[in-house]
Amino acid sequence: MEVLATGPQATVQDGGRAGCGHLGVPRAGAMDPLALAQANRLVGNLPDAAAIEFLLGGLAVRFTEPVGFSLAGAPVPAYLGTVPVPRNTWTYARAGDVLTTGQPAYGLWTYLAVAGAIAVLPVLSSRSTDSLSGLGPPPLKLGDVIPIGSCRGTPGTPSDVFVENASASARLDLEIHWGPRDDWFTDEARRTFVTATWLVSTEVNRIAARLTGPRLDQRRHDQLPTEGVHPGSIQVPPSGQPLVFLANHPPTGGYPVIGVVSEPDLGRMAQAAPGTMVTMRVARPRTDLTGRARRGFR
Amino acid sequence: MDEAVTSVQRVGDRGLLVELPPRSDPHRLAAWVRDHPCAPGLTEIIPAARTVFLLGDITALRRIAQAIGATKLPDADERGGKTVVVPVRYDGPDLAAVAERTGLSVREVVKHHSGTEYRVAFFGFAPGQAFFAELPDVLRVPRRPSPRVKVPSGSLAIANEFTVIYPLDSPGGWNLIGTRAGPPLWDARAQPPNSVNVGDRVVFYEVR
Repeated sequence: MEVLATGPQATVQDGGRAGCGHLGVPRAGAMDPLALAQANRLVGNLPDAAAIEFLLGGLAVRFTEPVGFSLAGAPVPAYLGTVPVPRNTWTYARAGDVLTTGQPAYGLWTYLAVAGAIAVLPVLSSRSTDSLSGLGPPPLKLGDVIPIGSCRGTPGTPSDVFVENASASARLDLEIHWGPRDDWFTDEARRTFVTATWLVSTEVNRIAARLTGPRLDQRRHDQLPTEGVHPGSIQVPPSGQPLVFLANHPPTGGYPVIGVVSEPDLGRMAQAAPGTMVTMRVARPRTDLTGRARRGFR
Repeated sequence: MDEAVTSVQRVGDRGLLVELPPRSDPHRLAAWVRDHPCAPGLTEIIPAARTVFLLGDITALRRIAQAIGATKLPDADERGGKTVVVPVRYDGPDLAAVAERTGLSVREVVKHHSGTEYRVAFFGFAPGQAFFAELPDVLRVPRRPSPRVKVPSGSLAIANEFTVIYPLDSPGGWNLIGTRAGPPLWDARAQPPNSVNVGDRVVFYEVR
């Protein structure tokens, strides 16, 4: 498969590089794991197999061998030659066929999966491009020839309903869990955090999305020792403007984390375009894993 | 392990943050977790300055949280790490600012920094970014008020009780006091990619 155009950014992504966080290696992997899994399932791959993730459409490829492919995620208009290609189904391409894509109607990230998956060399057991640290294959560029694996599953279009993270809505309601450092913030800041309407800023990438809104003040002004962070952590630097850690977040952080986005909502956050209005909804209170009432829970 | 943990807190959908008192070693707890029968259910075990962060299957986290709360954690073996000598040049753009902030001369800053043996405390922030602990008290300064957009790889930096060498070009808010003058300490193509391990000792040797 040969790359004819990349759009603003196209990379290889799979389930990510797990298990090396203690060496400072970010997980990376797909921004919208649900869409990656969907694209892979349509062409008979394992859900975490490597596919091409591209931002805001504009990807074009020439297939150099006959292969089944699928598109999932942000809905881009797509053509195989001159024939429109539907999303969320699999399509057969002949050798020499050219797939072109336009801008998505909504959402940011689209996935192109091919039967057999993308077969670039894995680094630390993942084929994902790590946008933070440069591990894995570099972002795709014009003229790249991408190897496709020879191990084929059975393509098929499932008839069950599936959930999509990309949404045409201008509003996004995120479920969050408090902490682990919500006790570093003033009561006022905690109240503001869950009552304000936040705006996704233009500072959005594979690492994090910055939200703009009222300032969140901290109760404490000492520095938090660096600590490991959960995907979806909402970090608040001294500027008071929260930052949501997305797929390619660093494994540790040094600013207090006021809350963590629930995992099912993280892909929706990743697909939210700049300008989307975001509100926070606190997940049902719970006890901690040792059975005690959770510290700092209000 | 003699010291008890300070708190065990659930984080997000499948995380656990175990906080240890100051002066205790999160690596001994991380090693204990790695040997726990439920460890295969975990995807990440990340020891840091005062904490161990775990990510994984909720059942495994629950069992480990209960075990941490109920067990007197065993003493980890004293592992004799190696000592690595790292040649550096003290030519960083923040050297003068650090001197001013600490009330020392630039030469005194260099003398204190290069006259200390550091312990590799943990990896974090970027692949292969080892945090070297036990920075002399007189050199402890906070991170810069606003981070730089790009810190070149090989930069030697200090903040709070740590000193680091940036393994890659990356954004960063630490005080840059020098540059690495020898081979990199991290190479993703090498096996293993890290040439220092947690527990090793590092000394900086000034190259002029």
